[in-house]
Amino acid sequence: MADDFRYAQPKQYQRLFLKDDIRPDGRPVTGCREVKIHCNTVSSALGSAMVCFGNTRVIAGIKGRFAEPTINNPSSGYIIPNVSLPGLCNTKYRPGMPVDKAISISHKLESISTDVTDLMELCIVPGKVVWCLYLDVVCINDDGNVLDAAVLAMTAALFNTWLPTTHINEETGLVTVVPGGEKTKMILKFLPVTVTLSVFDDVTLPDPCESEEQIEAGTVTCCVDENSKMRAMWASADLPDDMMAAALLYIQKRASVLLSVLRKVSQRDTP
Amino acid sequence: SSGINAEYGGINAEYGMYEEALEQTCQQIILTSQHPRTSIQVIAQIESEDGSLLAVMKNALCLALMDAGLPMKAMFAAVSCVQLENDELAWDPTLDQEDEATAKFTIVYECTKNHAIFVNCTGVTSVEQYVLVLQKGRQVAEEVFSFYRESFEKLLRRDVKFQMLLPPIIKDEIVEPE
Repeated sequence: MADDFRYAQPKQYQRLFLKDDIRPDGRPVTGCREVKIHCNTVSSALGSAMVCFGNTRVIAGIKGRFAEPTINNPSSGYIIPNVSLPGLCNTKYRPGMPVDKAISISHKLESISTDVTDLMELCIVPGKVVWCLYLDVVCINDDGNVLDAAVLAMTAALFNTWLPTTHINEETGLVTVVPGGEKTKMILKFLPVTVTLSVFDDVTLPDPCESEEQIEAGTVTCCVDENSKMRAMWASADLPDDMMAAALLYIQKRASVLLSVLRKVSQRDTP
Repeated sequence: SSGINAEYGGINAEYGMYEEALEQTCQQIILTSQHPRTSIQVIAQIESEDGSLLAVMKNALCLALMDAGLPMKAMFAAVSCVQLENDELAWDPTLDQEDEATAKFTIVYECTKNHAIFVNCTGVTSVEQYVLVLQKGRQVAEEVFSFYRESFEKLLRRDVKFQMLLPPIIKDEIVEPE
């Protein structure tokens, strides 16, 4: 009975819950789902992490490759983020070209990750060989708010990335990885996390689940780092100033919670 | 759906975010229930670029939607701002200013309640700076709205039907030279 109503009139269904200050999955209106971060889940990657926001699960892995630097920046490596939302994570995604949502999240990861590390550190031989880090983000289960999970997974993966030492053969100029050699931890300039709020009917709901994303009027996503500096802000919602200010306060609090979870999990100092 | 054609060169991945931005604003503004089973395609052709690209695109979008006669919830105006090295704000930046900028803001305001309906901010900035930009941006948006009004008045003045509705142009008195 309730399922029929939810299918036929999803917005009314949501409104009935919000009237009692609760959301359909039992959370309070300003509540977020439980966050779990597991680091180093992919042993073949230089760094990896899996992030779970309730049922939403995203894995990020860093794969390093030697590449030629670009002409404009001959002594800088680069990070190439790629997000995939395969058919297994949600029935609405079909196999084939990357979904718009995946491309959109990739763009956002790119704008956040450009400055996150000193790209000069990724240089091996200036002008010839640099590290090219493929940041592959795969969503295993999409139950809403994949963007936040993807950014947190990216940050956790980068935070736990260990770059192997390289050996340059003087005769051939070939660069190889020293097997069993020392590894250096990648240093991040800042730790970005995003917090997304979904706007529905004059209420902002943090960490929307999938059913809430379907009926939302808009979203507000803000990326902050551990020093409360704002790194990015994307909003496509009709939000009056006071609601925007309240949202920003909430975002900062939530960001510090996410960062503390991240720090607790990544306490290792050795690869 | 939306597409952006660059000034030169083929497909430009950079503009993917801008395409999404145009789509989001269209979805918020256009009353799609008035046109069921219809696809509205927006194409932006960039003639020349010198900074504030997204804001200019959005403003062009608003005027194009009005010209097309599509039913809209409100008119909207976009303003663009950059934060320079000394935390100073420069409104309506050129490409040179954007290159020097530490942060870029593009905010779209709608005309009925002056709420911000779209924000795109990248770079390093603080929440206080963002709130300041949000408030000051309204004044700049006012100028864009008055430009919309002037443009449409000029356009409609040529049409006899509307000449009765528009205020008459008062010619300045000719001052005799002494």
